[in-house]
Amino acid sequence: MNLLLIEDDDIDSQIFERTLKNLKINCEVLRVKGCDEAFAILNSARPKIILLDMNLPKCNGIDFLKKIKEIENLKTIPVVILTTSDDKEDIDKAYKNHIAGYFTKTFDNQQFEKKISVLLEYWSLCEGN
Amino acid sequence: MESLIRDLAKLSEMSESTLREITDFALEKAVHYTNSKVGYLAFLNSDESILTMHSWSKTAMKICAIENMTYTYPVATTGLWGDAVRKRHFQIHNDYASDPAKKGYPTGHVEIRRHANVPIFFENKIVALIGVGNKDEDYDEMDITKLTLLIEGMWRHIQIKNNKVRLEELVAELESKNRLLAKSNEELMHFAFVASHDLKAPLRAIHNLATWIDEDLKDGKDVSGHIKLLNQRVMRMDSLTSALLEYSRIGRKHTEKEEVDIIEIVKEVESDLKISGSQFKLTIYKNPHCHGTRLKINKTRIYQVFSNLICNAIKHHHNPSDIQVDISCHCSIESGVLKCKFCVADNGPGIDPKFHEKIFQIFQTLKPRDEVEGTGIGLSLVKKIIEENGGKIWVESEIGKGSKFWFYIDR
Repeated sequence: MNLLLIEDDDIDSQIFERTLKNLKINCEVLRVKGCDEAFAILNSARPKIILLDMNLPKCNGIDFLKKIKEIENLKTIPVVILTTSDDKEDIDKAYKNHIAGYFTKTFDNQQFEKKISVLLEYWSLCEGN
Repeated sequence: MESLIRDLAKLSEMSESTLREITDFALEKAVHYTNSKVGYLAFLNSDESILTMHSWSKTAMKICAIENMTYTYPVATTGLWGDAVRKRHFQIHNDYASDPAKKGYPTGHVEIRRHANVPIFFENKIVALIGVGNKDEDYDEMDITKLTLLIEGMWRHIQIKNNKVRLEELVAELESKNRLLAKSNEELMHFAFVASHDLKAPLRAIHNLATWIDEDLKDGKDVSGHIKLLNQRVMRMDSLTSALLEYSRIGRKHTEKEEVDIIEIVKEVESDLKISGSQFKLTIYKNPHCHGTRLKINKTRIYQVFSNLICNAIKHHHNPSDIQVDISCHCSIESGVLKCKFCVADNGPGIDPKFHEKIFQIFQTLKPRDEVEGTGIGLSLVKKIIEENGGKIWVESEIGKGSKFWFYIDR
């Protein structure tokens, strides 16, 4: 399984990679730091899931969602939010833009590992897309 | 008598007229119905200490020959006519010339033989005084009644007008307060959003780095990289909280304004930045017609404006060995008022027009913080300072063509 991680923060990206390592999940992670880079990669690669940080330089997560959901061949890729914000308004806004899940990054790494494990297992079981 | 009633009715219908029309009408009728030759109308200030002459009857103006007329009189020391205020009661002086309390009047003043005046009360305070003079016969209580009726009719209108004006002022004040409140609420909402992202992120990073250091030490791995990152995040958290504090201070308390010369401030910023090791060239262009480099503003604030703009030009430059910053002042006379705008221009990479508004939002950065360390507060701070001082800031820029930050401040 291959994933696209859109995350500008190096440490957050390391947290994700360490989590995968601890879980002994073997999947290819394409990591980009912003929206433009993400769309450049999506021209040639098709990840099974996109993991998206909400707070990015230049364009925020919502901007990215609005854009990708307008592109016919990309709008079917499930986008899951990985963010620090637990603001209800942010969450609502994301779901209105057709996300496939919303996870907040917390201090509890075990909890985070569990979430990622369930998320990846669920999408690896899902057919198609 | 009947015509007096008609005129009182007419007075009561004058709500659309101006203050001057109403007072002129009341005064002329007061002179007319008391068979006087002259008349005057004066208003009192709120503590009843100063009488301000509002108008004299046309007849009085015709015969008056005083060259430099005064318009304000202290109640305590003014002549016999001030008795109505001092004694808080109407006055009749049928032998004005020989009255012992008479103070006399300047040369050219209308000769007064008889005099009567009536104070008007509002909420137990005297607010105005109407007086007439030089009736051929003695003034009596009937004259006082007529004066009272006219001045009360007049005062009612003035009251309504004053209330209307006050009401309009209050509505305008309320509207402006509402706008401020809406702006402040919007800022708060925005603040909550950014706090939930930007302030939490470094803390969580620190927590994770500490965990990794612990884990990796057990495995005998090198942790110096983690420690370096950990320090960097602590510094980031520190600059975020300091910048945020700085931002919230603007406009919260009244800051002292003084006249400062922009050129001096720019030179100060330049030397401070060079002392701290920044390398750049700075040129100040002062148009010989530009007399507007002096502004009345808080010195620290205008320093922050230039410091942030110049720092940004340096920090975001693509070629650190060739940083050029140009500061210029542009003045013009617009409808008789001197308008000056300032420009901070650089030869940096330029900013895509689609980000020209976004860059002024708090915590907004265009590059990941790991690439260019920045709080995302600088430009929003600059914007807030300029707007607090009644000014405006905007940017002119294109990719590859450098950036020009323009601003003006209400003087």
